[in-house]
Amino acid sequence: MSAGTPQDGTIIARALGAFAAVNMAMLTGLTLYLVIARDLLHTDAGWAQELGILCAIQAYMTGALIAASRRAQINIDWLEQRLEAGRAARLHQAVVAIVVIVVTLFFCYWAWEMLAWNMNRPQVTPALGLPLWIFQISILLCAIGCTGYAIRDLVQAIGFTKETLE
Amino acid sequence: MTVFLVLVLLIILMSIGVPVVWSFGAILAIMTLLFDVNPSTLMLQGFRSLNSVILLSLPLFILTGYLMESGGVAKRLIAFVTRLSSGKTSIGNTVVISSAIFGAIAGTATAAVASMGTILSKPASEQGYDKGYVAALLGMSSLLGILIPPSITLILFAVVTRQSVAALFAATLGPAILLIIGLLIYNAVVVTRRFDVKAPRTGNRAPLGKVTLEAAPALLLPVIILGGIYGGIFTPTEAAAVAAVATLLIGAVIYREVSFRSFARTLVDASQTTGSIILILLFSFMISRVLTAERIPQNITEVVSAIATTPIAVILLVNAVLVVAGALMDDLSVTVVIAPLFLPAVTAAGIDPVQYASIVACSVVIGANSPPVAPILYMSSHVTEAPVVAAMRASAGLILCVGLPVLLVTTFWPGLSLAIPRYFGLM
Repeated sequence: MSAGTPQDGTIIARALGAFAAVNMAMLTGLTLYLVIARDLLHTDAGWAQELGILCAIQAYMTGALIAASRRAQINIDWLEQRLEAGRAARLHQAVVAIVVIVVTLFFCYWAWEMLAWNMNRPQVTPALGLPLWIFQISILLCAIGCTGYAIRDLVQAIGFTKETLE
Repeated sequence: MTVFLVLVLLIILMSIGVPVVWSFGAILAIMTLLFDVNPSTLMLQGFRSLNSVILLSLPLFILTGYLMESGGVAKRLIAFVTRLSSGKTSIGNTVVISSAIFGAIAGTATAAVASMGTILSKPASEQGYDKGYVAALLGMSSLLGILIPPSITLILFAVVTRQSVAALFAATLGPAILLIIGLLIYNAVVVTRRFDVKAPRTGNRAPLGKVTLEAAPALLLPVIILGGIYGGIFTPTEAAAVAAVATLLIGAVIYREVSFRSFARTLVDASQTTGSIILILLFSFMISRVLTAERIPQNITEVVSAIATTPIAVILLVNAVLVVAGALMDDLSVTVVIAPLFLPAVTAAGIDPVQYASIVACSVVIGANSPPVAPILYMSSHVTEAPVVAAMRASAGLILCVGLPVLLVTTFWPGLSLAIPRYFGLM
């Protein structure tokens, strides 16, 4: 996985990074608090666990979005490495981007269906009474964001392919 | 037949470079269309699996791995183990032992490869080690993190198969010790017989007391993590948080190598790595649901039972499938999709699910070093600047002489995996 691309400096990348960092830090702190609350303070900390899971899900989805933005998702790149830079490589990128766009659109649909189902049957968490959709909305936003980045990859691949052909 | 075609499609998509997560998404999309699945409840089931306390340990152990590297913990551990070793085999021994300690703290192979490859590749070359061999040994040793608790692979397998994380952690300790011994013996034999290796110069080495004192806080980490889990002080998830905070404090307060900026970057990197894994896990949960609803694991059990009539034949067949799958797919896919499919078959053959987790972990160690898909081997080749072909050749020797024997012993000696979990009353 590579870390760090030119996109790192954009406002969106910075915002995503800050949001991910805050959620990871909160997750760590809240999980540690569970030990402290149980063993030292002898109090119930169900609320910390619920908030911890919320932070974790937000960190997961933001992290997945950052990986998509940096093109750092886990992949098997032996074909990519064998294709020399130029037309073939860009065509390959375009094909991969098209597959990803189709799949991410499915992902958006599934996430939306889940959220809609939950809106019709509202559920809340036991300790803090947080609506479940607060946990789920980050999945939908991640799906939409990943679709956006896949479209970006396609546009870039097509742009380069045209340049190469010209 | 449908499942076979879907798996072939999965391999094709991965092979042409579609990211693993979207390859999973693609076959899930096809399966929802083929099997007429309700999308709203399907995603909801995937979400419920993510909404898990056990899973919280995943980002926290990944964060610990990154903090080990950015906080100077990794550097001092390697310096300590290097100082303890002497003689021609010292570099190889350092790679194996340091990997084991890394594994006992972070549970990921990448941190070990990045840290040790950078630090040890130059002295290894100067001593006369073959670069390909160093890359292969590093690749295989770094995967000790899969067998030594806390292991991310085992956390994922426990979540997917609904087993006790602590029991699986304890089950792989025996195979891990066997693998360490095997690697040390192999290193001793290869270095003395095949390479013209010189003993390292000892004149300008740092005093042992100083190196030990510097590494002491880092060496305490495995004691805190494993002692905490098996002493009943905290759960694996809480242990992960304690490990992350302790690694941060050691790096920031004692070693003074963690700045606010580097800490923030570490948090983002850990989130990115976790996010990449979690989406794969989310889709694999949903794929498993569809497969279960279609009774595919039961069908596979029937097919396996028809092909292999004795329990030994069943487990050998499953072993072969896992190793081949590991060579064709990434370790995560094998752990969360392929291996659980065979759980009913191996259980029917009389294999305990906890022992099966050990077998899966050993298969993943071999698979992650077997071309064409050998991400850890490629990474270690890159870090040590070794030609990939040379690393593959050396890796084949390690797999044949160490990896496969360990897998077979783990398969045919249940006590190796089950004695420790039983001793701690975990099963």
